[in-house]
Amino acid sequence: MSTVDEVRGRPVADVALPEPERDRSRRTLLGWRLAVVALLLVCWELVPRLMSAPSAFIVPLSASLRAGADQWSPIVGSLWPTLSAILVALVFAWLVGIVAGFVIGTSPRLRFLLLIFGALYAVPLVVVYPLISVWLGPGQVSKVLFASLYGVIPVLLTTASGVRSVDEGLRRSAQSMGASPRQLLTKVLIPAALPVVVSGLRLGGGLVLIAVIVCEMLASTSGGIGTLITAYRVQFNAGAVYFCILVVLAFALVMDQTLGAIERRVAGDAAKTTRTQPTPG
Amino acid sequence: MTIPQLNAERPLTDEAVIRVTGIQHSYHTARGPVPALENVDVSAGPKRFVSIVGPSGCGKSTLLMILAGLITPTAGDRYVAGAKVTGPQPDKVAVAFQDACLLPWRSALDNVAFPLELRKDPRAEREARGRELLEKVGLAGYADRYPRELSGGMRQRVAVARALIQRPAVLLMDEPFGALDEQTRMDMGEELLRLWDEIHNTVIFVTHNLAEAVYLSDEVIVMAARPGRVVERVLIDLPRPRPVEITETEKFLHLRNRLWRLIRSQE
Repeated sequence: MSTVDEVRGRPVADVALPEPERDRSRRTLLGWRLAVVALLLVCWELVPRLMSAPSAFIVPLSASLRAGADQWSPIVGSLWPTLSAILVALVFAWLVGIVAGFVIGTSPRLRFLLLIFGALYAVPLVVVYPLISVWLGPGQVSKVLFASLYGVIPVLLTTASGVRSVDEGLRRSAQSMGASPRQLLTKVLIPAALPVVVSGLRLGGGLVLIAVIVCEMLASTSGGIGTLITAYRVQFNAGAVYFCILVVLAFALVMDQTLGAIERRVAGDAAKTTRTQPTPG
Repeated sequence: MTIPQLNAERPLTDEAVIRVTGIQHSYHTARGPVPALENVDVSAGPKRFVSIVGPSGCGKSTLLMILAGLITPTAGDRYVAGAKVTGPQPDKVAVAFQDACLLPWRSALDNVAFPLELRKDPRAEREARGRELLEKVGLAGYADRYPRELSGGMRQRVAVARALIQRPAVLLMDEPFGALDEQTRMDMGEELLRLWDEIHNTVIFVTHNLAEAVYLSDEVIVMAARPGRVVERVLIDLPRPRPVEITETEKFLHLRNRLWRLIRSQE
């Protein structure tokens, strides 16, 4: 028997490995990841020393950490402005994006808006930040507004496409069973669109983080980690720049891992099943 | 009330449980309206098993959706149990679709009980009835399985159980076994008849498989395409119950060939 036949002859999906086996493979993967990270850190320490590169360009790990310790209080003081801007902008981008995405996705008359938002997604929106910072001042408010704008578009687009991609058959069969419009929304459309919506939240989250840091780097008075990076760069304090980059990476990593875990939890099973459903012939 | 008499072999004497008359339906496309159905009258009496066959594009699935109240035709009327209605009638008419259309995030039991949940029946009753129906379709041990863990045939059984939980006077089936392999299709047909013997409601069954139509039905409505219309209504006077061996009898083959010629002659 060929592999193809074996695969086809298995209508009962055993896509997911049994629990203990999955855990083991996940642990092995984690081990490999940690090993790669450790290797990179060792290289970071050794390569600048071996190359004896000028300290303004590449700084060994130990020197970066020392620079971070020297600048400890401004760095710690910058965490909250950055973090709070990210969190507030996330809430805005997600809420507005989900609600607008659902409305646009379910209403044929508003579909044309998707084209507009799709086009906006391609525009480097960062060009409008100078305007926003002139109108609202370079503080937290303009940061949050810009980051929300930046993050809302992928959330809106993926939510709308998630709602639109809900199988017409599911809709019809629920209607034939007497589902009211409200039941159709809460019991069919929302759960069916959820996996796609959550993947949009992750995309939007990444953009919000980028937007906040970029705002901070562009406006020297806005505060936050981005502003510090620009400041240290101007002062040729490469070690502190490296350290701040590490802090931003840590932000990104924590956020992505959290959202990824939510995505797997909420969407994993449902996403797999939708894909294994037979297609209408 | 007059009952339309098409070119049926024998006048329909019994009161129809479901009936559509004077159905016209066109689809709107960029190049203008395309007629899908023209002047179609279809009815089914109580406890009749009626199949609709025809070439692809004859609008048989569209007709079924109109019977289900899921598509509003351009013109024509629809009667269920004597009353003129528009829209779905979940307490009288249930639909089983070609792809089972199960909700993937719900277990088999929760899928079967879904219609009862929509009309807010108490949970205990939903579960009891759901289990009862799963047992009827031979899936008693699969209540907690998710659709992805079931084979195509099993999913279709869950869909049939879900339709039957509505205790419908009319069960509409849109090529329910169309996506299954030939062997499973025959098994499912046999099982459907056994189930129907018990429930004995009205079934309207859309298929493109002529043998399946003859095997299952009391009458077969033959449709033609461009525009979709009813050509003839063929009575299937094979005795019931029907063992699978009946498909090898001369009478069966004769009926099947007759349907075949009717469809061929329209091309």
